Amino acid sequence: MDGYLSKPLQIQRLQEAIEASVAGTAREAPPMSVPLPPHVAPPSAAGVWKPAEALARVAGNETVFAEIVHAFLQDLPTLLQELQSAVAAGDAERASRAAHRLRGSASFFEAEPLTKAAQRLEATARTGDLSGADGARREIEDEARRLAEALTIVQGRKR
Amino acid sequence: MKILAADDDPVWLRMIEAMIREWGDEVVTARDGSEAWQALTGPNRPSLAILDWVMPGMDGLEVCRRLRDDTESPYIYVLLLTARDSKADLIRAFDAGADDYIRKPFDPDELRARLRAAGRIMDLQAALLMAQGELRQQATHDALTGLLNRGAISEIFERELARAKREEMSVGVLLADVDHFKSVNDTHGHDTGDEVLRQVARRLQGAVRTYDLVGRYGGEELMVVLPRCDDESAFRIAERARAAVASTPCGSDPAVPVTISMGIATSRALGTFDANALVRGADAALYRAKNGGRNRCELATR
Repeated sequence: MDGYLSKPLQIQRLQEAIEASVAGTAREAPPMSVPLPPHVAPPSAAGVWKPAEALARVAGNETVFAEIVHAFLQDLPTLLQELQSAVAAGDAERASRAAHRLRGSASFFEAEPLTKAAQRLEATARTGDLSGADGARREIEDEARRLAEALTIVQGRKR
Repeated sequence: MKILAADDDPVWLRMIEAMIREWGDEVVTARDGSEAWQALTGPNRPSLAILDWVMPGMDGLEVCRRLRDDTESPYIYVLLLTARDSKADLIRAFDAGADDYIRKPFDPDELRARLRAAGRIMDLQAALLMAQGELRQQATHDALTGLLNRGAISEIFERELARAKREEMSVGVLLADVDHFKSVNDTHGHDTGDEVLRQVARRLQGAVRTYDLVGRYGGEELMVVLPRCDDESAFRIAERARAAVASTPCGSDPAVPVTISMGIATSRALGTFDANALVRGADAALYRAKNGGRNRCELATR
């Protein structure tokens, strides 16, 4: 087990995230279990994902939304690992699939930076040439981490 | 409506599952193409499949193609999920047999609208299948007795003969005729005559083996096709049927004592797999049964 969820979803935090994204202002991030690399900005919903749109995808059902966030966070390390090993092995087919999966999940959350980064790598991988894809891969990892952190705040995951 | 949702992405899979459940439909999920294929070919199949295009192993397009290759089973409506939107991709999807597609990311409203459209098509198909079934029943069955009609029983007889010839087995045919049926009609009226025919049909059906086939061959003449049957068994079955009719009067108001006469022919005894020859043989035997006093069975001989 990677962590656990406190249910129900902390609506207040989701609300805050939504407000932050609407106002475009970053709110103070709570301390993280994993220290962020220095080049990563403090997480906030703004620009990373669109909470209101994402919640609308499940017709505002917060319980289902929390489950989906949980599923995504559980799935993410495996996906990133797969992407990393595929790029390292120069396996374009596998890299394209992993990037495609990541793009799909990211699009659910309207996480534009991650969606775009994954789309770029997917397109590159489809050409069959992965040389120079490592930068794109790192970009994906950064964006994925930002999204994960932002979702973690909303989810109210215990540290 | 039972719906299958197949996606290797747990995010979208959960979303689709939760929404469909909220809308009151039954939903099963699959995490890849083979799981989807199993659900679509197993017992209690869904009538609609939401398939993600890109899945490990068998992808959505392949599942769709396989579904369309199977023309025997009831139609399954396929809604393809895709992140692609090039014209060529869409044409590929429809060529594979998809009925509709939905692009990720999508909203529940769009999904619901597409499922409603699918529901309309599936309702139409269900109505069509039912009408087809009724027509088939009407085309092959006799309205009065519910037995196979002359065309259907003749066709089955031909088919059984062809099979028996291939497998070197014997087929039997019985022709049964209600004795003095005209006088039943004349004395008691046609309603009673009809009731007598229905009862004779039911008793004949009850007396033969489960895989024997009974049809109405003419006015008061019934035919039984007896697959895998030699003279001895055919005679035994015919005697059982004759006794079943003669044992109790037919109808209740009034109860009419009724008997039947039967002619029996088997391919083994007559040395032919020709339907006409066998029917002629059974008919001649029936004639002898009538002349011999009625309420009896006669075997055709070479």
